Amino acid sequence: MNASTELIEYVKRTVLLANTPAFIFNTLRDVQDLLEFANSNSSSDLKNKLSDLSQKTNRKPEDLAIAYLLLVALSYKPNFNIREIDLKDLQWIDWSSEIVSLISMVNSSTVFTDSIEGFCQPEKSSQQIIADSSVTYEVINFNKHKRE
Amino acid sequence: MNTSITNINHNAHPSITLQTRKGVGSEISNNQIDEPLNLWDLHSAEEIKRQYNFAVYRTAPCGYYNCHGMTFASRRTRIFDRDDLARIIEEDNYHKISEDTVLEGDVVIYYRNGDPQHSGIVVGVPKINDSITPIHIVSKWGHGHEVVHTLRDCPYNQNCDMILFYRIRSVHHGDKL
Repeated sequence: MNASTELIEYVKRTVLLANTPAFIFNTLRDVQDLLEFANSNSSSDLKNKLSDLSQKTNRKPEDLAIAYLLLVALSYKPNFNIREIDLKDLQWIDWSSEIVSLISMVNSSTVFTDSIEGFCQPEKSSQQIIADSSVTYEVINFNKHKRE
Repeated sequence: MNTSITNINHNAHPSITLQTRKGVGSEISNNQIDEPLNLWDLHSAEEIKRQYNFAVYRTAPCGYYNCHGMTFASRRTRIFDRDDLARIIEEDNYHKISEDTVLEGDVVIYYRNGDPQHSGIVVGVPKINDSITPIHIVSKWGHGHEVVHTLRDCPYNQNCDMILFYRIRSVHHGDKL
């Protein structure tokens, strides 16, 4: 659960500049360090950390940046149902419900493409694909599989 | 570095009654973060200021209006929903115009994947036969400063996939001048 100072600084800058929730979501999903952070933590680690922050009584400004970081990291966990998190617990995060909706859309489309990937790689069992995708997010080149 | 405590319920942010020209029934969702920025955010705002050092910074940072609130709501509140912005464009009778016909007072919107991630108002256009001077925009950078900048010299240009210009058109007389 280690996010670099540079990554947290970048999240803070992005949140400061954001005019829309999608700007936060899209800009942070461009960051390679965030993808690596997501891949180095399980969905339950991310969820638990978010829950800890939400229950904290004396939050620091840095905590808000970390909360956005955790939310966007959860968007790389296609088998995690973001709706498991109670939106009431996220009320302290500006635009949390909009960001949760964006995560939900990305996660459901990723599960769909994971299934297509499964059909294209018969040597991989569906259980193996699900296991893989739960620990490591893969960018799937959909067009490549269509050509094949 | 600041160690101040923040424990804010962001859903408690106040909103104002905001409608398009259509009036009742055309409410636009909005809210204001009407509180001072913490020192961390002020520090980030200063860093952004140093990075974009050709821009002119008109106001100190504030959170109660954003770029869309500046462009479409007289600097009173934050507008952030893409459907609301589309509704304003349609119901206030904005029409797309090409970059080479832009005039002062026109609106510019920077899009990414359909998200209107930034907007502003044109405040300077090249004179005839001037191919060097760029278009100048005034816009609000999130919770940060209100800034006069050139079209491409802002943090929203690098990731956007489309920049569109809009001009309001008279409902009754079209473009007749």
